[in-house]
Amino acid sequence: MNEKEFKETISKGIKSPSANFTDTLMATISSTPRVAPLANKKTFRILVLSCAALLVLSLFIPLPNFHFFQYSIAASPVIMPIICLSFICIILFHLYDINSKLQDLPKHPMVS
Amino acid sequence: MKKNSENDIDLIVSIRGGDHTQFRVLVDKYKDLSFSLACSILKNEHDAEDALQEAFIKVFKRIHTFQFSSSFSTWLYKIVYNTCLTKLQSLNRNHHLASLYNNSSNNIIEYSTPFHEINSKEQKVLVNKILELMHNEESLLLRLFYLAELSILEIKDITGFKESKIKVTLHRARKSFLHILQNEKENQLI
Repeated sequence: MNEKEFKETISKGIKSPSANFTDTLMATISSTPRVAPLANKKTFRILVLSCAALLVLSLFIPLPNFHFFQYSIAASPVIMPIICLSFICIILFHLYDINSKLQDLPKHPMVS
Repeated sequence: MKKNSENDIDLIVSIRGGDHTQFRVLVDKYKDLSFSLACSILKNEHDAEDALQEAFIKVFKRIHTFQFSSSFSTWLYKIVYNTCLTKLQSLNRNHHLASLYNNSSNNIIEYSTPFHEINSKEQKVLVNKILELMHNEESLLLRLFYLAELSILEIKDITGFKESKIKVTLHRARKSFLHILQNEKENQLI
């Protein structure tokens, strides 16, 4: 048996899953996609609140001076608020992204 | 083949864009080949179908992470392969597989006419029976190489086997397949 004949023979060895395989799979998938984004949304909300709290605190409490051998390093009082604001912006961007993805999802998109 | 990949890319872009009904098209396109591969590893259609369900759910959840550096089929088969291995470990079928392999030469395939003369449905049953009797690695590699038409490098990427191992196993698998087929022919003459 040459290579071509062998390939033709093996190509007969294809199997198919049950007839309702795709429907079952789609039904399973349709119930899962909204779970992960919703969980992420909750996490990001907590992060935004934490950063906002840190921002408020950083306005009143300055960072202490760092002592490194004989040197003393003083951080600018605006550093922490800037960092907090940057974090808030990044997290808000992600929240916006998740919101737009959730709006795109129809309720049961998979089942035809 | 290239056009196929382009179609896959279009489908993936649509799915990522929110049109999740396109995932059905991808599933329908690849379910038969993926199921055949799963059967090669698990040697049981029910378990293979369960594993394939899991694999497709993983694909759906991770489709946003798919890099277009490799073809979608290679990525999918890799997920199917890994899911089947995990399933196999959980089922602890290794002992059963080994016994199946050892007893393969004793199994009699009941066909009374030469291979090329039997109808295509019977040929399909016979080929699947032989692949089922073979060692899971051998039947898997035969299906990846001849059925999925993947290159040695793509198979290496999916299975993690060394190139030399793939070539040797493929060579052994061809011999093994023909040997079982030959046994069947001899059985007709007796």
